[in-house]
Amino acid sequence: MSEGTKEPDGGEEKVVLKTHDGQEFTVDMATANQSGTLKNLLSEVGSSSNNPQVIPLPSSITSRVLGKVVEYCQRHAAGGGRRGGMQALEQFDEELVELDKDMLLDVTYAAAFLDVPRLLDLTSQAVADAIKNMSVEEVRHYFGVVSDFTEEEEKVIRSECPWAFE
Amino acid sequence: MSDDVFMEILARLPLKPLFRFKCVSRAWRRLISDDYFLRRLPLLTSAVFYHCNADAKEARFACTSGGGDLQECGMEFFPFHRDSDIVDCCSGLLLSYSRLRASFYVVSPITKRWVALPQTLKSTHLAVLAFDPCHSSEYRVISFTGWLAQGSELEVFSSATGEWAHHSLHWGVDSDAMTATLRHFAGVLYVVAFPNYIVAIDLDGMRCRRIEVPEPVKPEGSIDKSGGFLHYTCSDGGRLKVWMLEDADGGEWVLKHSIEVATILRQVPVKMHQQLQLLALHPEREVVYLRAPGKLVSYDLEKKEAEVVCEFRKEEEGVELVQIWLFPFSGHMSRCLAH
Repeated sequence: MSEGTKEPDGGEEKVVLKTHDGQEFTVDMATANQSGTLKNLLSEVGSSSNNPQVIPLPSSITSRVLGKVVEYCQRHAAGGGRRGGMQALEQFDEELVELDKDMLLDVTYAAAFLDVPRLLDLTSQAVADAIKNMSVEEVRHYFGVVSDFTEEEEKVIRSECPWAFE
Repeated sequence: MSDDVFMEILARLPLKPLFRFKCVSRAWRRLISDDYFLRRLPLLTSAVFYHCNADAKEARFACTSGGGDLQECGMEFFPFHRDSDIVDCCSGLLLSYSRLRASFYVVSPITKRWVALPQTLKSTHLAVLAFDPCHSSEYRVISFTGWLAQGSELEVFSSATGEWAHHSLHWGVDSDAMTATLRHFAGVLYVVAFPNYIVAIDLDGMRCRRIEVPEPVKPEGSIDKSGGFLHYTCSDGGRLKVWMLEDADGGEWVLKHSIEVATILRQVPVKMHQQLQLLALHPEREVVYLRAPGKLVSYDLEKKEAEVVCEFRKEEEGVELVQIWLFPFSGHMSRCLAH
């Protein structure tokens, strides 16, 4: 069920996403339109099959990360009507976010940058689930954050809500 | 990673880790305490359940745990939980009353803290807990001790003074007209009264003000503060109407939204004949919360989108869901019983 507009010559509109590390992903409009950012951009500049628009992406979105986002967008552009219906789509979503930490955070960032709300929802929830039972120290390690509190300050915050540390 | 992306993640955390992670760094603490962030959070949910078997009416309390589930909070930390009754709940705090000891207790199942209030002078007819975590960490307990034709005798406990004080109120409508629909915001207790009033009781000055509402009140109407304005929401079964009072001091009511209930029902898997019960408006966003059998549903009044916030079918098995409350996230919640 592609929403891509057929051009007079029968070819379908395409767009090329180019990552900073030089890889190119050619996708159809229905896939690109899953991203709010691309949809807005393409509604202004347009694209065609013969001369597809090339959109460069920031360095933080590597080809591996973009590959995941494109995989998501392609599957969701097809909708639940294909390959086993909504149930299969839900399973696809679940499996898609089974990623290592760095990849999960990078895909979360990419989903926010490209404005793919459902994917952002999925990855943010996966990160939240991964950290919700962690200690403060484990969370610092997870995000590579160094504490800038003094020992005394940290003690005060802990004493404000001891129940949160039980 | 940008603050916006961090907020997406933090907004999906349960209450406990959210408070805990204020310790991670200054940037995290700033984000978690940020007003903009707090406005984005869904309302927290709490609910009181009772076992249905006739002889043991033991109450259970549950709170949202994130991810849309209600998690039961064990009440064992509160030594009188077996021989006292939950008489009210407000923003996650419980008011418990023991007939045996004629004593009130204020209990926080989230922080597992509780306090016994000093004895009241007179026996209570009705007691209300007033706590607004967006406003302050002070809470009050209002015990109505006797009804007058157009007012009442009452005692009010303030956590700021630690004492009960006696007052009498004249609310300007017949006591018989007062309904059980009441809400507390920022030191004012609002009570819906027949045929078309809201009585606003200022708990600081102990004065009542009568506010006329634009249509006859219904028992299932709801009073809310949203975006700083007083709202009255009512449903006649077919239509949901949201009214806003433009100016608290004698302004006009404006009809902000009027939605066909059927359009909401179409978006959630609820049978058409089932009723939606109004719960609350979001304090900042244009979102109304409704209760359907076994579900809590939010409806975005601007986007016109309904969403199932949480399902409590599992928790409801063999028990009766008595009341469900929604309240905004606030740092005051952790401090209010910290003595």
